[in-house]
Amino acid sequence: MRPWPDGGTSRVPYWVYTDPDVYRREQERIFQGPTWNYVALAAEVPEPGDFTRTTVGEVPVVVTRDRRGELNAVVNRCAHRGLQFCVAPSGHTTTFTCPYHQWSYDLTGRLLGVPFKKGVNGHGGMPADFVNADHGLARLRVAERHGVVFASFDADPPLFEEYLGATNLGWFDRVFDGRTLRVLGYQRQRVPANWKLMFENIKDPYHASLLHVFLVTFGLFRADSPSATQMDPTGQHSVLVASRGEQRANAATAEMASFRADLRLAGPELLDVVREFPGAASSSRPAPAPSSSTGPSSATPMTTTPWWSGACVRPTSWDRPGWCRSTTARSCGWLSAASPPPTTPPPSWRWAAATRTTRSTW
Amino acid sequence: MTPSRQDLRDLYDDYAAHLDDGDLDAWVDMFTDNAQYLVVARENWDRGLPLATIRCDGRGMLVDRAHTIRSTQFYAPRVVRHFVSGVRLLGADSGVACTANFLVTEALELEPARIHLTGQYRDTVVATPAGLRFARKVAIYDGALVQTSLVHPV
Repeated sequence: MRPWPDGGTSRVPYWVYTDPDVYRREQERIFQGPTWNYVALAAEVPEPGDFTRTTVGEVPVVVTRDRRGELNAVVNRCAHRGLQFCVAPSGHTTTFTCPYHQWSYDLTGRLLGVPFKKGVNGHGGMPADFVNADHGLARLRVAERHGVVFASFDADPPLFEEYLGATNLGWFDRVFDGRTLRVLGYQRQRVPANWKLMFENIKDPYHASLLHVFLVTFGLFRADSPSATQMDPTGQHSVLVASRGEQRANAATAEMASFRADLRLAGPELLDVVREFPGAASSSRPAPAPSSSTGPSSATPMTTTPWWSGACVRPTSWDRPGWCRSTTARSCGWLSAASPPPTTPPPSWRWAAATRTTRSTW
Repeated sequence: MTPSRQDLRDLYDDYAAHLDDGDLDAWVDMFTDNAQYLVVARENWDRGLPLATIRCDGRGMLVDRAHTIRSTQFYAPRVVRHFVSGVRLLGADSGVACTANFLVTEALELEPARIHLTGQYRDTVVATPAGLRFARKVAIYDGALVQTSLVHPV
């Protein structure tokens, strides 16, 4: 491994994003190490026999709910020749059968059957000491909290709650407080970049204040918003905590080339604040711009409702069955994870979107 | 009055031409004031899941999208080209239900063109005094993944 340059963590060399050896070790030590990786929402596999596919690092994984109703995570590689036996992104089944040589498994990964196990006409077959129980699918440890499912390759991972730590558990519970979740859809995107860049991008409010006109102009997120990146004592976890500001010019916006005090939406319901769970927030938005507007127009300054008091920017039209905007649960969860954790989990508006490989479209 | 096949073909050819030319004002004008425009992954559409990658309810949101693409979003310059084929007229009730296949290529500067999206339109076309307009347009893209960015409308 190359030597780390002088300057500590303030001088991160580009090779941490490009060195194949670093990448390989990340796969081993992080994704296959003593970590908990998000793999599914329990709402994606509500019934015994349900399954959904995902990956942990580069390893393909199937999350299942077995006959007893328990959650399982198994590696999507046949124990025989390593084929990805499960090809459907999700579905319902009683057993998995690998198409290559038809080895079959139950939903916990237990090997059920091997064709020609004793050979054909006295030829071939498995050795006499072959025991199915020794040749099941590789299994991951599973933890579920408030309907969110995590998996670990480690044989003896820490308790999920201890792993996440008190601070981050509070933020987690603020979004996933135990209310029943509903899958709204999937938004997947392939970004040609090292995986770390996606995480770091989300913890990079510097760029958000400069690049994203929409966030900046409408005070959704920008440098003068009350915000902080909270890291837990172990350094393993962090949360970007932010509160929504206003569409108002001030000393900070003077340095933001992307701030547009005059930008008004012709379809402002996009910014309607919807109460997602109980709190002090109420919905408000500026008067609609003239329908003939084809761009920036003059209007009264926008008033916005702070969402740290328990609201998430989400169009009211989401409440109509059938349609929703292209925001993901991950980004929405990030947006709404902005107030101190509630002391009691309130009953609430019930929804969530399951998502993988997402990036917000701002 | 049910539009002729030629009228519909012209409508889709105009639609593709406006997008390829980057004439987003003309693109907006191909919709009715209350139109709904959706770009949806087939994965979600087939499973009846409501999440849409782009969702515009009404002309205002279409106008906003055109404006933001033009003046507020950062993206690498590219040439897109829309190929629309297999326009089918499925029936006329409150408007004309149409389906068509689309293929969108994009070429980033100094890069070879590549296929960006393929999929199917499921549209409702209505006759207005100004001509045929989309009262609803749903672009369902095949596969679940968008490569990097969905910059322009489909």
